[in-house]
Amino acid sequence: MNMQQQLNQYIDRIYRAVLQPESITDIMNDLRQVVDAPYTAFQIEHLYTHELSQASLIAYDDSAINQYSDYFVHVDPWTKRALEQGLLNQNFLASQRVMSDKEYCATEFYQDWGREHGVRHAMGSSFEIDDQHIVKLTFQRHCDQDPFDQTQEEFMNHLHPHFQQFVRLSNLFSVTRPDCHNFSTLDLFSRPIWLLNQQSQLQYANIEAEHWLSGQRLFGMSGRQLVCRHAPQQEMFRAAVARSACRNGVSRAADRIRLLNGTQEENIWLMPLTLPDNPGQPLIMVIGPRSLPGEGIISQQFGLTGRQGQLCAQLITGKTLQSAAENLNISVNTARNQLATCFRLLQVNNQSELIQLLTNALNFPMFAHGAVH
Amino acid sequence: MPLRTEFGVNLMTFSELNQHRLALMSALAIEPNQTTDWLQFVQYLADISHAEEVRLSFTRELPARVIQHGQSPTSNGYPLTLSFEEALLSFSFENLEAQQTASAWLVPLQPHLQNCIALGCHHQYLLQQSQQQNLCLQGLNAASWRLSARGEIQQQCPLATELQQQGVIRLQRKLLAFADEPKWLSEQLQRFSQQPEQVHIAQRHLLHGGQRWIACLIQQPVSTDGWIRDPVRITLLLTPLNEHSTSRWLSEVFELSDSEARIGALFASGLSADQVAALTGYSKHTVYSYIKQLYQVLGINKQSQLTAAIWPQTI
Repeated sequence: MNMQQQLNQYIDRIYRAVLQPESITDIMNDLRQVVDAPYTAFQIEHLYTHELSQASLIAYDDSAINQYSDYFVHVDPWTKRALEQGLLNQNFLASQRVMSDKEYCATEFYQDWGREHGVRHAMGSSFEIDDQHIVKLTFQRHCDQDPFDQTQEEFMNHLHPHFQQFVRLSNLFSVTRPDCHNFSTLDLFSRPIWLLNQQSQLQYANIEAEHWLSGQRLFGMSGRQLVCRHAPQQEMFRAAVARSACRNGVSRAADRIRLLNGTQEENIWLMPLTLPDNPGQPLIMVIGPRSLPGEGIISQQFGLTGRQGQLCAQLITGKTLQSAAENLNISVNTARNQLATCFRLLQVNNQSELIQLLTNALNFPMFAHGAVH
Repeated sequence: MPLRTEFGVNLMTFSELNQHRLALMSALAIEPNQTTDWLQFVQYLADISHAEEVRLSFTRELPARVIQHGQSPTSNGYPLTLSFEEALLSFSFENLEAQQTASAWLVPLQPHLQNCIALGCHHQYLLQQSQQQNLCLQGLNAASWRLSARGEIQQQCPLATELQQQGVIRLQRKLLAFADEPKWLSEQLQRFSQQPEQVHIAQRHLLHGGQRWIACLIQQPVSTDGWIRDPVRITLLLTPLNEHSTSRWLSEVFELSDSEARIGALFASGLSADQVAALTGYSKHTVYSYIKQLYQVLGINKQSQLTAAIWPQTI
């Protein structure tokens, strides 16, 4: 295989790695063989403290880092070069070429300290991610080996701009990377939230909503449709979705439908949302009732004792202090005392404020429903 | 060195090809909070291939549209179609020579085109998701920030920007801090960072300008395989408590008149009848009689029960 074909393959692999960041390790490992460098590093480093975060170190000699870490701070050639060329504070801009072995040998770092400690031949580059972090891409050889030759430098120079794109794109995607342990912010809400399109097709459901569906309650899924379990209600629901879709554009205007769940009735809200990219096709957010936090969550989150948590949990379900005290087998006066402590701890003045606060507190369905250990 | 092809046509050199790669990627304009620029991408392809028409049609429903450059119908001319996982890219050329020349180097470029399309689609998908989420949060009247482990803002929804302007929360040396207790956020983050592999939650409530807010800070560990800068995801969520629009929801749920709902909502938020009367301009006795009616409808007899009945039902 000639060099150009090989380069083509590497470039394509680098772009593919944007969506599979773990494969950058394999790429670096293979590149090691191509440029014949026993040591390589692709690492994220803090610009000033030189702390490594989430580094992808491939066959990198850890002891080398420790040996010269103090020294690194001032004269690390990769960082220094970025500084000299005014590349810092300009995210993802990097020098046009990698720093060659010759340039590396001419640096203060090598001359002054590296030679003495047997530091290696090296070529590499750095890319800034943000004003705190830098990515270093380096290839190194032991000092008794030959320096990197021009072909090897040329090879890396062709790959260099693509690595820069890789750093930029993977950084952009990593913030919103879909991952089984990542939850969307809507998953934090302790009430079911569905997003439907105009045809009532489900676009999104938060964790609480998925739990609802499994709980044989008001809604079920039929294909990609969200349907009510009782046929007459289904008609009402469908009509309400269609009606909401027409209200497109009115911000925070919601329609309510009342659905029956056995003897209990539930208020469900429908709110149309207009996507900026697609104004003709509103989505409808379906919002179910809040689930109230349990005693455990109340006491943990707000620093109350277990007994105080129990008392509050009774009150938010609409019990009077009298009946709450009876349920907990304490006298009303004891309950009143505990309640006063709760008021002080939570900085509220009366029961209504307390209930309002605790009803709005999140109770983290993703933990309650075992989505996270 | 020029690339040779099976057609024996001399084509661009490797470095030309490489330039096109970079240019195609930048034509897509994958930037934070910006829609992928497919049109520019297709136009660039039309320019370098000298095709009469270039058409990109997505096979997945997400972008659900066709991006086209040139007007001539596809049936005429010499076609060339490249098919990818997410989309079909079809070219139409004036003559056979043009078609052969272009296909000779479009084919080596194919893996790169695949990558461009995959990345562009992925970007668009993420953008759409975050737009949807922001709209939902706006509908729920919740402001959210995504923070780094050190507390720097990585993302924030439009409502969050508004609250920063109102001064409920503000930036102090690039870090967020609450107006009433500036140290709370940094102290919690410090505590969280001691165990980065664990889930941490902290909630507090605050008063700002007569409005009550509940703030929730949560740390979720994310999987650390691959190449992610922060091993944790930190979200700050801020929602108002005694919202003035409550009465609007209330009148829908309980079929009350507007004034009944307004008085009910204010009373349920913990104000005394005197305070409600002062706020609404009704006499204290009118307030009492409205509340009495409300109690009757709901079958309750305490202010706290009213709160407990109303709040779970609101948005």
